[in-house]
Amino acid sequence: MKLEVQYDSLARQHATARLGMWVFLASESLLFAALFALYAAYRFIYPAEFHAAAAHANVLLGTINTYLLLTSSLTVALSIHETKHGRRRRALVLLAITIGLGVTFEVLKLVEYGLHLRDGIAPGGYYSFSELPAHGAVLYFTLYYLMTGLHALHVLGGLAALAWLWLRLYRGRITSESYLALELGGLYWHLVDLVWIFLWPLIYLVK
Amino acid sequence: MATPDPDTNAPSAITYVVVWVVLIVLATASLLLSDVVVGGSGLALSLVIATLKAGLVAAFFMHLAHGRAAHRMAFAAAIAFLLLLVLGVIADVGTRSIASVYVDDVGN
Amino acid sequence: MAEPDYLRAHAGIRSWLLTTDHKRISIMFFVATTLAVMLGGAFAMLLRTKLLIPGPGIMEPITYNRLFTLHGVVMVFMFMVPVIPAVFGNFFLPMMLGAKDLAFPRINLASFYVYVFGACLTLWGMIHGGADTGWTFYAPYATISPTDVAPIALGVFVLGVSSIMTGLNFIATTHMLRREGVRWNTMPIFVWTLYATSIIQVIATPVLGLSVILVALDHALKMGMFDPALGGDPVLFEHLFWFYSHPAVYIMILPAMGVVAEIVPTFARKNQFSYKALAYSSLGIAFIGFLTWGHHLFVAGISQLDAALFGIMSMFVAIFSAIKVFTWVGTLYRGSISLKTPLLYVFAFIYLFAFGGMTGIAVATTSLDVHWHDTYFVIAHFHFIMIGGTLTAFLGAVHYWFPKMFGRMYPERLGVVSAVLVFGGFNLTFVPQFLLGNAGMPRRYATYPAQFQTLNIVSTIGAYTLGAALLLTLTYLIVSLFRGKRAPANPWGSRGFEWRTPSPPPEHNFVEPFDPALGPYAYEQPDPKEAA
Repeated sequence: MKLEVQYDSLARQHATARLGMWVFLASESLLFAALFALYAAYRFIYPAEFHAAAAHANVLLGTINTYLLLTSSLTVALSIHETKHGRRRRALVLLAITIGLGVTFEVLKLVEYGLHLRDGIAPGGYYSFSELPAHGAVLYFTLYYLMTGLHALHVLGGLAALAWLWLRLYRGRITSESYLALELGGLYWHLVDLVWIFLWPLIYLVK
Repeated sequence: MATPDPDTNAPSAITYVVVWVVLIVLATASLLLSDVVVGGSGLALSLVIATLKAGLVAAFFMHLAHGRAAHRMAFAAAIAFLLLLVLGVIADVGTRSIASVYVDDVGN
Repeated sequence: MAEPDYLRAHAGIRSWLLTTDHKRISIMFFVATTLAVMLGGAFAMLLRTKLLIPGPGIMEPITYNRLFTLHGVVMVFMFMVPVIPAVFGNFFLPMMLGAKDLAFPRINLASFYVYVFGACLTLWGMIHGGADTGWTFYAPYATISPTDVAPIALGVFVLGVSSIMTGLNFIATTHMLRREGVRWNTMPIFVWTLYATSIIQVIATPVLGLSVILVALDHALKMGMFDPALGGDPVLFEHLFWFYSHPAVYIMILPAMGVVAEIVPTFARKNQFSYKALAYSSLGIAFIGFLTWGHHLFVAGISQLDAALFGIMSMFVAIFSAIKVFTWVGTLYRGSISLKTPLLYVFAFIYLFAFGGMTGIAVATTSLDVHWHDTYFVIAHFHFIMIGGTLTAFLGAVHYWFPKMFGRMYPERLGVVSAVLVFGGFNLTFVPQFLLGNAGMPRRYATYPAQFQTLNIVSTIGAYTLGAALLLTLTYLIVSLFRGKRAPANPWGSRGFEWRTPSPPPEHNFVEPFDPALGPYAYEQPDPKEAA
């Protein structure tokens, strides 16, 4: 990475990039905060209907996805660790696993959406699940789509970034001396994991 | 700067794996307990466990524990304002039935 | 041979469009935001013209509704929120820290293009007929309105992204690019206010972003999050919207207060009355400002307990504003006053902001707000802060820093004339609106009862005066760019760091490193050697 003119040292430039990424992560968290607030309000207003609706949540797929993301956080952290210690091949494998776990997450999400839509569980005005017509149930599922949908978009962005980083690592542009970009990508990926850590109990563990 | 970059004191690979094991254990515990502890207490318990998991990911995977103070401040600020928004909304919705002249059609 | 200044360092359109120089990006934002305020001002003139006569007039009510929506959207999101940070913050934050640029110059350039894209989306929505929901997009009307809500809502989202990028850049720069000797407790106050503003931008804007996305989704796809027919609660939209939009008004006023804090010591030739008061009150305003949003929902149907809590918090924020007002006055007291145009704008600011702020306390009183909510009283209150506060400070900043940015002086006498006309025109426009609102004239109506006509005519005459004064200002400033007297490095004899370099500055800001040990308000010390 080239030293930019406003910095005295590469170390300071890198430290500033890390701080910038943390500020960005704080900002992104507030995007989800708005949805958490809506969830909190509607769950408070419709407790029984949320419980009834959550009985139709796909706990199996949701939980598998939780394990996938937690593991992907480990593999990306290890990938950075291996890069730092010069073990490029291991780093590439670990990063590829991370991407694979993320792609699996997205595929399972799509499957889950497909299963719901087949039953008529769609967001907002398109909801047609006659078994559970109550307002609170519709709101639960609309929030489900909005929250997991926004999250899935962030996962997609993260996967694109990780894929680009994989290529740079493969081509030797990321090395044990210069791996800031990988660090920053890892930080973003952990945010995606953090959001899901809270989404999972709120959507799937409502009993 | 006073505190070193997160890099210099980064956890070892073993630490990462141990943290991962704890995360998996906590997630499994949360899943199993959700059938036992239900309702409002269930929500509280699942959120407490989630907070622990999030804390581990942040502290170890994201190097918050041994990194710069400014990073911890950014993280704390995000949490604080998220809680503010949620609590501000609940303070309204939660007290309409006991402290309002308005009654809406959902009975609050 | 002297290094060329930043305007002449590189030639050609590409050197501007692809620049990473914070000063050039500032100029591009200056042009864009000036166009925005002219557009928003044109909408305002049309509104005021319609209001000369009650009853059916020169336009249909739905057209009137579109115009006040667009006036609000353009003024808030394309001018008031970005202007002082993206123009003066971009130009002077690095210089005030002794830095050669911001932390992330390419993100800075990107923030400009994101702004332009957001503005284009919004304008496209306008050309398509524009929304009639008011700039506040309240549910449920925003979800069923026959007008084109989605592109304007999305335009606002994109403009918000630009705002977050600016805030992120400023935070990183302030933490990491202070030169040796520029510390947190000695850096210029303008930096403190920009830092506090940046925290608000980064934390609050995403919540707005999500709420306008929800409105766009509700309008286009019937998502139903706030639809009572689907069990939704429209008041929840207001919670999310105002969680941003109240702190947003502090995004608009804090940088303005920072400008005042720079102009006052220079034209009183005196150190700040209390540096700590100005620095900490900036953080105080930013923090408490987050705790007050419910005062926009007093009569929306929230619980009275919630309303009471928000009312109390709204009173507290005034304490920090008052601390600032007293500090500025304390700095002016017994200073060696130089009555130049920037200081005239500062005097206008102090008076109008204090007056407008007190009317804010009035509407924060829940029982009184029941009477004034959605009347012209509220409109007058916030225009006192936004025009009387932010725009006045903006004009002060333009005149104060014009020599530094462009290397030319503006004509001082015309500056005074314009400032007086702006002040007079502004008061003539908005004082009658307090009276109209108190008498019960509702806002966002294309017509009004006949007994309000006289005051409406007075207000419109004021608006035309204000508009003319602003056009006069713009004209002499543009002429001065080419024909103004050449400006020295430090025409005001300021101790500020940005004055310790030629006017205009070279590309990397300073010809030689300055000694920050001589602080930016050290008037008890002799003037540092002027840069060549």
